[in-house]
Amino acid sequence: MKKYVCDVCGWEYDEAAGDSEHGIAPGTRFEDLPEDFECPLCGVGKDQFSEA
Amino acid sequence: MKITDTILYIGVNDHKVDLFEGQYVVPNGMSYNSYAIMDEKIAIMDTVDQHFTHEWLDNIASALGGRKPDYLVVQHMEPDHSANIDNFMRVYPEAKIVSSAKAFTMMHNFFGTDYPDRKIVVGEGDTLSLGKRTLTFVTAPMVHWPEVIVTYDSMEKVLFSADGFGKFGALDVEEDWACEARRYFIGIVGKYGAQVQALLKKAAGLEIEKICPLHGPILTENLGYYLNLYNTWSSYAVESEGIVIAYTSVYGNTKKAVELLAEKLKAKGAPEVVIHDLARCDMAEAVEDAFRYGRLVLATTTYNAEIFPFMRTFIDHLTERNYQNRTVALIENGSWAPLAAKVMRGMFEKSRNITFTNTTVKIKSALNEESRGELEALANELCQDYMAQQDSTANKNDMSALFNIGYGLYVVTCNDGRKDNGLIVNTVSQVTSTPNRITVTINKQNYSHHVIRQTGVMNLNCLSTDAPFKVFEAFGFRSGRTVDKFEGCTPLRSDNGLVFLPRFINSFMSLKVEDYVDFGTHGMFVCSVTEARVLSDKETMTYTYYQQNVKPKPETEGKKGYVCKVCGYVYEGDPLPEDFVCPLCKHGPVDFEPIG
Repeated sequence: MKKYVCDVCGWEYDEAAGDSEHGIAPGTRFEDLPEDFECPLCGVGKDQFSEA
Repeated sequence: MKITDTILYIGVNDHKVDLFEGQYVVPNGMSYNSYAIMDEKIAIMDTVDQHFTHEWLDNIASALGGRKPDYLVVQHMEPDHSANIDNFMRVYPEAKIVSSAKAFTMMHNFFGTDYPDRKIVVGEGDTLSLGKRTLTFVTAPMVHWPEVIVTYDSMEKVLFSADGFGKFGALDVEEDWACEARRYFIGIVGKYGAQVQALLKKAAGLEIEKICPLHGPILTENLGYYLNLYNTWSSYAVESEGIVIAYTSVYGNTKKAVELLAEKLKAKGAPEVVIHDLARCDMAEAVEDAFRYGRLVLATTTYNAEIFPFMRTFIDHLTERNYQNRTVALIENGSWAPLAAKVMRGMFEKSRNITFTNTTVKIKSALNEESRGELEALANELCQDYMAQQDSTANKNDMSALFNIGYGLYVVTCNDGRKDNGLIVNTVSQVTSTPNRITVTINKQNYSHHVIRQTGVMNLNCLSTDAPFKVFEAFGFRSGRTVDKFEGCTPLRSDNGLVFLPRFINSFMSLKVEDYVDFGTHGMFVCSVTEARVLSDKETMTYTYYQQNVKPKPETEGKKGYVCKVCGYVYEGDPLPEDFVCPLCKHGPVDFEPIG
């Protein structure tokens, strides 16, 4: 399970934890997040994330 | 102070702050702006810094003249604007607080409460009616915090822009806007260019007559000027022509090199040369200038096998703010193992579109003849366009300019009655479309010129980018008078009976010669188009593409003489005869360059 970080604001997506606040189940891989997924903190797209 | 009849200024000036945002020197202080919108209901826009509680509360009381505020709109939670939320809420227990969901989360973190009974959460496009007017909220995430909203009053056509369009400097000091606005923008918002661009796009759809930021003057006239600068800064475009030199120098030797370089740059026509001693200057100003200009020279000493600390800090500031789209030159000093250039270059690894100059200057403790020569070469590189623009320094006879005329590459086929022939031509142009006329210019030394003079027809095959070098070897380096270039092939033929290539072309045209112009060494055929077919949508190969990707690098190692830039043929000897003709591709001495 990997962690990904938003390059713009630093918000972290932890694959193991998911993001229940936004309906993402724990264990959801980053690649499996929808194409139009946006950083919940600052709104940028998946292309602005890096593996932590 | 009145902004409009219904919008009053209730902010404060701070001349005591030593470092704004904990890092910026502000010789002319700061303003923390706050506004009262007087309608049937009253809205207060943001609060002020913690040191000005009573002055601000007094401002509210006197502006409202006995009336009580209905709403506190919190656009931004940074403490220089949010510090007095709790004080306000105590003084005005009936007021409601309007802000974004993320802001309320931060309020809880800062103050221990998000005023659950009094809060109104707003998001993109939400509105708040004050009576005669309605406020519309627009989210501005990461300009420069995630919770930020800006507010639009469509009746007065005022945009409350939060920290956008702000600047250092209190409102009771007269100073140029751009300089301190730029230092503020690059320092505080610089990283978030894309987010500012997104906000500018949203604002473009609004009719705006005034901009009310949280710092600096209210903008009321010539708004295009400010919007233009914000567009430039947030798109990381170069704002001004000139060169910045940022350096560290411990004992003065690197500094000497910097001063010498600056002299040369000015003499070679650089419109501005700005120098910053990173240990002693205002770092924020050096950062501002690095973003303002398009060319940056970094000069530093190797230190603990890394670089001098102020240079490291400086480059970190740049890369953190997404420094991009610029030219960087490196000057390193080292008394035993100079490494600074390598370290500096590495720090820009993740930066987009940074072009390093070909010349890097290496100083071994102090300038010597070699490093002085490198400085001269660097100055020439940095000022190539400035020198060419300046009358006193321009080379007005630089015929290499002619190599910059662009061309496609074509195979022209014809038939002398006995066999087919083909050659490589670049000098092809469509000159008119009513009617269609194509010019094809061929060297008289080529057999094809003679054939086409007689037959009046040819096929023009447009080579696409996938054509390999062997096509050029086949058609470009052999003569059709003596060689059958199509031997062993069963070629495809167009209606005029001439060959067109089966591969490596995106299209061909059959041409009929309508006119001929004699140019001495060459003849130009002016042609109409009798047949035209498109075979693929691959790009036509340009001469530049051929030079960069197709032509093999010539074997010049260890040889002395001249190499043909067109086909790579090596002439070993000196001098190259004036009337020399390349045996492979027929080009003359002008297309040769010395080797060895």
